[in-house]
Amino acid sequence: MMKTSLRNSSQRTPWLFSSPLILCMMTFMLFPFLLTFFISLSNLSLQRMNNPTYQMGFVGLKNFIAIWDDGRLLKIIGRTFVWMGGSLVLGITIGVFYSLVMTFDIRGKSILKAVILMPWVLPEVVTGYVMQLMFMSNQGIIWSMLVKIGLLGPDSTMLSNGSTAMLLVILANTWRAAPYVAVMVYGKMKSLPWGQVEAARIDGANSVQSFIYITIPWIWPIVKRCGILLFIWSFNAYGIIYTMTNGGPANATTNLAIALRNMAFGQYNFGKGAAYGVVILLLVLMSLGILLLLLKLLVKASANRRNAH
Amino acid sequence: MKEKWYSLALKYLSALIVFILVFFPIYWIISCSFRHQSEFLVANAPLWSTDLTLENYRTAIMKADFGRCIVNSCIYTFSTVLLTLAIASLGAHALTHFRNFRAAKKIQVFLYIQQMLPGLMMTIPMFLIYWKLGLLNTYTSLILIYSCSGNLVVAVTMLNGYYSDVSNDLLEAAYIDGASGWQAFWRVLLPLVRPGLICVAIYTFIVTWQEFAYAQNLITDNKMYNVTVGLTAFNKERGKDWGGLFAASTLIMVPTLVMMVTVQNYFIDSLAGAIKE
Repeated sequence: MMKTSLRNSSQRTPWLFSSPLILCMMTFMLFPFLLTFFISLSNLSLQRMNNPTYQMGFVGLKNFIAIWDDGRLLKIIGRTFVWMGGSLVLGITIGVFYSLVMTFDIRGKSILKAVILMPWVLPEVVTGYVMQLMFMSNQGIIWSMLVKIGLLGPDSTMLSNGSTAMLLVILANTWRAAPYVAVMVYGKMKSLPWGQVEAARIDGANSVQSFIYITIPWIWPIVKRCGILLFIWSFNAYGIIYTMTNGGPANATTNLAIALRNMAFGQYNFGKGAAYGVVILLLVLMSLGILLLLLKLLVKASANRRNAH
Repeated sequence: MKEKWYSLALKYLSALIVFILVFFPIYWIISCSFRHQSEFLVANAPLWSTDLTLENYRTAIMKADFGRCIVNSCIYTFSTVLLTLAIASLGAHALTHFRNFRAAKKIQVFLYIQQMLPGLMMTIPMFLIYWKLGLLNTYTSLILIYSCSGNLVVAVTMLNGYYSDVSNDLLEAAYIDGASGWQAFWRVLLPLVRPGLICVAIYTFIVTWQEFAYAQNLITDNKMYNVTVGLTAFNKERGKDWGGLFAASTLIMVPTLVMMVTVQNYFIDSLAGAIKE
């Protein structure tokens, strides 16, 4: 359909319609993004800004050296990857499991559908507080259950131990993320071509095999997309960690997001906070690149393996 | 082939497991909101309590002024939904229905990249910009940042999906009948994509209602807190008042849970459908 034959100002209308969008893009997305780089190279902080004679000074890469802090930055990055990896793997696995259960033709299916998204619509801070209460020593309901079945000693505290604290925040994040994955995947899973499954069954495949070789490739594009979304979110969301442990005990759960927030709005040192931001950005870009490359290689390898049979 | 009984039993068991995993913490929040303060100090909390009380709600609303947080959140959220819908519905129209629009591709790429970028780092420049403009601690500050960055990108992407289902022929017919660009948009397009607009509205509502990062760092005046920041402030000020904390949490949950239960079928299908690529 040639619009130009009907309207001679064919460019004006779309520009008019998209001008609010473009304005927002420039003002609220591009400009702050560029500003972050500037701030990371400056010594901006609340104390300095309160001084009326303050002139913003550029300190080059001093902030980055400061947050490196004898390798402390590496530990924070490491924890970020643990947090991200754990949330991703668990979130997708459990999400796909939820989605599978949602496709079952059983009574009570609608109840399941009604509650499945609730964890995701709950604010992170609420999730953090309830998880804290449930896993608290002596008073937590899940803590007492774990002690009763013997998995936990009566003296142990889950939130004061570095590694279990990390496990708990990952679990809390998974609890929130899995339903979102489930809903995304469910749409695709519903449209699974059952003809293929029937054919496979006739050929002797059992349900596990049909799941691995038919269902998983079918939902794989959506899983990939969810993976990327979860990946991005895990760098952004600090609410759960903030309310459950605030980065503790002894920085065991401090990842980049918490570090950024506490530096920029806890200590009000904007220069260093922005430096953390740049680090996050670089990591996200690097990781996305590597991840996508790995996925391509993986798919190629399994395709080669299958072709070789 | 009739389903074997153990296969069916396994399915029901899995469904039960999923239900417990998903719902138990929510049940816990609601149940704890009705328990007495004293119950939180003892070990071995019971799974359900028969001794219910409303004192926590009274504490939350009267003593901790949580009602104000709810009102603030309503203002932030409803304004954001309206503004986001306005900007996104206009922008997506330009992106999908004008084949000759040369900037469309560039805008799409920008939006796609924007989704990948970590949004957390932009709290710092936004804080400083608002400070310079004297807009910290105002409704405008949060409403603008909510409707004009992250949410907007998602909204536009969603609407692109719905808009591209509307055939250009319909709009062409409207133009031939003498409609102006605006009339075609308002009278022809919008009624057709109403499900998409509703989906975007619900999604924006949910995301904005529970937003925490910007709200915590851009608003320091406790009269302007939204519900999530109000909750953390509640926890700080009142120490281990778990009952009150969960009463406030239940109040936060109410609008979104109600929405989930009433529109869940519709929303789940359209959320999944909007991601089709």
